[in-house]
Amino acid sequence: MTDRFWELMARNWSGNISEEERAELERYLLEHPEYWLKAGLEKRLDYKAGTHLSASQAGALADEVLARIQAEETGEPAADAPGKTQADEAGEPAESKRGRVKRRVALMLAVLIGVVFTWYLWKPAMDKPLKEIATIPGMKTSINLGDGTTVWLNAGSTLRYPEVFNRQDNIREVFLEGEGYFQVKQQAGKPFIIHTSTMDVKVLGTTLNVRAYADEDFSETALVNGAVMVTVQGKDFYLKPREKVIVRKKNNAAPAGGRRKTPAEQISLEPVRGVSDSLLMETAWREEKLVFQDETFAALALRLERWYGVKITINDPALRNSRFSGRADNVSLEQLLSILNAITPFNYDIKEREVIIQ
Amino acid sequence: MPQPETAEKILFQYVQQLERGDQQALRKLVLHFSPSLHRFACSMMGNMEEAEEIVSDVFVKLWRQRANLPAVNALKYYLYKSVRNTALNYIKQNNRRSAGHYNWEVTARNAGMPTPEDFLISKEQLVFIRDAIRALPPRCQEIFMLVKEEGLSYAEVADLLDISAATVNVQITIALKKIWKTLDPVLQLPTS
Repeated sequence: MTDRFWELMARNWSGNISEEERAELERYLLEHPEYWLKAGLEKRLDYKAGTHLSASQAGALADEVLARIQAEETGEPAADAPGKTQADEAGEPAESKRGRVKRRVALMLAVLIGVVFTWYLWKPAMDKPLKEIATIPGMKTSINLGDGTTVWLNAGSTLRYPEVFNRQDNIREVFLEGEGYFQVKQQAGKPFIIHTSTMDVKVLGTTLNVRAYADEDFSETALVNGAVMVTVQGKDFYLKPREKVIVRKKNNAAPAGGRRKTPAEQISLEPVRGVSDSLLMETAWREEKLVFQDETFAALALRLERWYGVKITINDPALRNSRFSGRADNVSLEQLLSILNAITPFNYDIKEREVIIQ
Repeated sequence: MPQPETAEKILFQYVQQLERGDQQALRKLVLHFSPSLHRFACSMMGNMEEAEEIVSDVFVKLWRQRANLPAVNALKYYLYKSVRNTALNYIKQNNRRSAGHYNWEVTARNAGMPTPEDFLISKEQLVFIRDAIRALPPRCQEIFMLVKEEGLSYAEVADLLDISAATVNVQITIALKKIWKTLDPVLQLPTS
């Protein structure tokens, strides 16, 4: 028997075989029926490598993991907790009255702070000292916010965020223009809110992609996992993983002033589009993968301008409306244009940072 | 056989519950995965107590990561990878590495649909096969276990053990050849 035969047998046996390889193996086996019988026998065998961990040990391990988590969540070692509670209870009756007064004052203060805070919320952004990070076309970046949240910012985008998330705040807020992929760190009772010109996204610890470029005719929030609530024009949408909410502008006029009141907006909930099991259309940009599905050349050109940091002019109106589908992983602008050119022929000219297409 | 699909479904539920912060779901996942992860950790550490610590660390990390869990079908590999990274950290601190020891058992599904060309695999035969596997080099046993018992792909095992996919291919072929040889006598014993 040849080495190739053995390799194919092993691949088949372990489930690491392609369709072509399986066909190849079947040809071998047809020529050697005795191997075929043996392969059938082989298939009936089960192997267990055994383990040193019994079911009860696994149970004890599970208990230990839960205890460690408990300790971590309460912020103190698990062993200390009971002692402290006792001390608190013992001290309670003696100064209970003074304690109650104190608590009432604290409550009133809290309400007052709450009112002031809400007032701040109503006039968002401007009053708060915010840091700003912006990416120019052709550049991407990632930022770690103080609360453990990570944001990947796509090209031509701006994120404004507080330098520190104040402890007393019961909310974390950032402002996005453009596209960002958020890995939000969960904090109990402190939702994370992403404001864009069309929607407010309330996050409870999750991974999501928000796209809101001013020069595109739609904006969207796509949920990768976790849970979010998106508010558009006063309406709340709860997203499940792999769902997204899209707001499409009906006319292309940029709604500079009256943002939420623009009636010419259409809102829809749609499933996230998968390129493959592991790659979503919405988040492919993070992996330097440019994916486009049935996109007009005009819309695609806008993205390419940001992606490569160039200016693209399409002179032919018919060409502007021709549609493209495809995927380009980490290719140069020249390569990409030659790929597009193979789908729909056109002439192009690249000069420094400018591309003319006709 | 609906069994594997149901198991997958239950796992999927646990993962969803875990994403929502359900500690009991985490407990179920520990019970489900810890024996095989512990075995793998043992093979890297050569020490049961440290292996337990590593598995415990891995699940605490999984809890912290619950907002960003991998897809259910990738969870096992994710956990293995996490065990490996954690174990390597331990090893870096203590500067040692040891080969695993496995307690193989082999069973055969003799029952089922007997066909004219069906052959019975006897108990003696199974012991024979088991001993053949136990005689394989430890590294080969480890690869064999990850591919055949845990169902990880060549690429995943290669990544996990820091070897090439070609090496995985070679080692699996070696294991297959060894087991293949022990099956010769079985073929001489056709059932009625």
